[in-house]
Amino acid sequence: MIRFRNVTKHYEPNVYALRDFSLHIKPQDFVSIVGKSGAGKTTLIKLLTAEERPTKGRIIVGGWDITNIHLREIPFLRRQIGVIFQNFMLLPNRTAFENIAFALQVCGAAPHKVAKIVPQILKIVGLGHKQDFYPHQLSGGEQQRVGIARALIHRPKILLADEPTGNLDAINEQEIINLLKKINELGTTVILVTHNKGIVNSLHKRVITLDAGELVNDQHHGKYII
Amino acid sequence: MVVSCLRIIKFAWQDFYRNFWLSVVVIIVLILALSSVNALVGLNVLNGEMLKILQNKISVNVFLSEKISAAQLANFQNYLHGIKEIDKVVYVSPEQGLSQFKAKHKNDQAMIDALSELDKNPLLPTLVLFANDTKAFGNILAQIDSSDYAALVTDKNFDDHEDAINKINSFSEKARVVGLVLAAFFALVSILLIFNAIRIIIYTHREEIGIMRLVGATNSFIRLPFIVESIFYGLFAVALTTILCYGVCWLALPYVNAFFGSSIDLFAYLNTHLWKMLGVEVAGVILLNVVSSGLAVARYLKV
Ligand SMILES: Nc1ncnc2c1ncn2[C@@H]1O[C@H](COP(=O)(O)OP(=O)(O)O)[C@@H](O)[C@H]1O
Ligand SMILES: [Mg+2]
Repeated sequence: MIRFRNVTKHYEPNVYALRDFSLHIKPQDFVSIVGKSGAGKTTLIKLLTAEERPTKGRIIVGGWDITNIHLREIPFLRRQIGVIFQNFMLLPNRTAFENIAFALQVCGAAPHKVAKIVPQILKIVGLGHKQDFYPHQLSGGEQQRVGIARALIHRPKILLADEPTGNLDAINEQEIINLLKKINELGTTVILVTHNKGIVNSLHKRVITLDAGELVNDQHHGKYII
Repeated sequence: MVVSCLRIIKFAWQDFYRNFWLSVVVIIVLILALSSVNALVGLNVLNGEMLKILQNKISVNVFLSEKISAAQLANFQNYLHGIKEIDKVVYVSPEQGLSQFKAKHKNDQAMIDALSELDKNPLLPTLVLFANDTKAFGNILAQIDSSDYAALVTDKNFDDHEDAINKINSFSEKARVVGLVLAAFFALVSILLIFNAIRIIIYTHREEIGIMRLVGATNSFIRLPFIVESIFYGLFAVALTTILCYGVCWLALPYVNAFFGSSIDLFAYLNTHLWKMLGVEVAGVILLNVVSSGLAVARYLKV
C-alpha cells in the first residue's frame, strides 16, 4: 500500500528530517509511528500527502509513484488519503455538518450527494445528534470526530493521524483510538503518529520508531521503546 | 462541473458582499477610470458636432452689382453650380438681406433708427457660397475673378470661422491629453487596489484554503473565486458608470443645447452606441481586473 525507498528529506540549511528511510506498509495495516519531537514523523506524513517532496528516494502509494507527482494530480492523491491533526483543523464558523460538507463541496460533489453522505458519516463517528453544533460547542474528542468524519468523506484507502489525541484527555483519547481501530477493521490502512506509550502498548500492532530521521526500530507486535 | 462553476460563483459573491466596503472602494475607483474614458469619448463627440456646425457656417458672400438682370443672375448661378468645390449657392435679394439684418439687430434701437433715416435699401444683391472644404475658398474666388462674370461682382467677403475652429481643435487636443492621463492614472490605481483587495481576501481565507487543499480541491477551484470576484467588481463598475453617464447627459443636455443653439439628441447617440460602449467597457475592465487579481493569486496563493 505504502512504500518508502531510501527516502531522504533535507531542509535548508542542514536539517535531515528523514535520512535514507525505507518502509513498507501493507494494505489494511494499523501502524503506529513513535519518536521524539523533531524525529521526522510529521515530515513523513507530509511526504505522503505531497505537501513536501523527497530530496532523494522514491515514494509509492497504492502502486502510484508520487515522488515527482504533477501539481495537477495532487488533489486526486489527497482525495485518496484522509488526514487528521492534533489541532483538528476545523472551520470555526461552520457547523459539524458544514465542516464535513465543505470537503465534499469543494471537490465538486452534487448537493444531493452531500445531503446523503454527510449524515451517514456523522453516524459512523457517533455525532449524528450534534450535526448543527459549531466547533466551540463540541468537546475536543467530538471535534476530532468531526475531523475524522471529514477525512473519511472521500472513502480513502489510507488514514493518516498526526498526534490526533495530543489535545485530548485520557477518556476522549481512548474513544478516538477505538474509532481508529474500527475504521481500520472496516478496511482502511491507518498510520498513527503518537507520543502515548500506553496507547501503543495496548494496540498490539506494528510500531515504527524514528530517531533523528532514521528508522531505529520496527516491531510487528510492538511496544513503545524509547 | 456545473456544480463546481456555480459554487465558484457563489464563493466569489460571498466574498464580494462580506467585504462590502472593500468592494465599494474598488468599484468607485473603477468608475472614475471608466468615467474618464467616457468623458473623453463624450468630448470627442461634442467636438465633432461643434466642427460640423462651424463648417456649415463658413461661407463667402459675393456682392453683386445693383444693375444685374435676372438672366445674368441665373447664368452666374449656373456657372457657380458648375464649380465642383462649391456645395451650395444661396441667393439673398436686397429685401431679404434687409429683413435679415433688421431681425439680427432688433434689440439695437440706434441701428434701427439709422436704417429708417435712409430712403433706400443700402444692401446689394448677394450670393452666399458654401464649400465642402474650407480650404477650397481661395481657389473658388480665383476662378470667379478670372471668369466672364467678374464684372458683375462688386465685392467679396470671407465670413471667417477658421480661428474658432483652430481654437476648438487645440482645446479638445488638450482636453484629450488630460483625459488620457486621468484614465491611465485611475486604471493604474485600480490595478493596485484590486491586487491588494484580492491579497487581503486571500489572507482572510487562509484557513479555508488550507482545508480545501487538504481535502483535495483542485487548484482552479481554489483560485477561481478570487478571479470571479474581480469580474464582479468590473461588472458593477460598468453598470454604475453607464447609469452615471446617462445621468450626466440628462443634466448637461439643456446647457449643451443652449451652447449650440440647436437641439442635439445626446440620448439617441447614447442609445445607438450603448451596446458597443458596454461591450468595450466590459471587455476592457474584465481584462484589467483579471490581470490584477490573477497577479495577486499567483503571488499569494501558492499551491
Ligand atoms: N519547513 C521546514 N523547514 C526547515 N526545517 C523543518 C521544516 N519542517 C520540519 N523541519 C525540521 O525537520 C525536523 C523534523 O520535523 P518534523 O517532521 O516536524 O518532526 P516531528 O517528528 O516532531 O513531527 C525537525 O528538526 C524540524 O525542525
Ligand atoms: Mg509533528
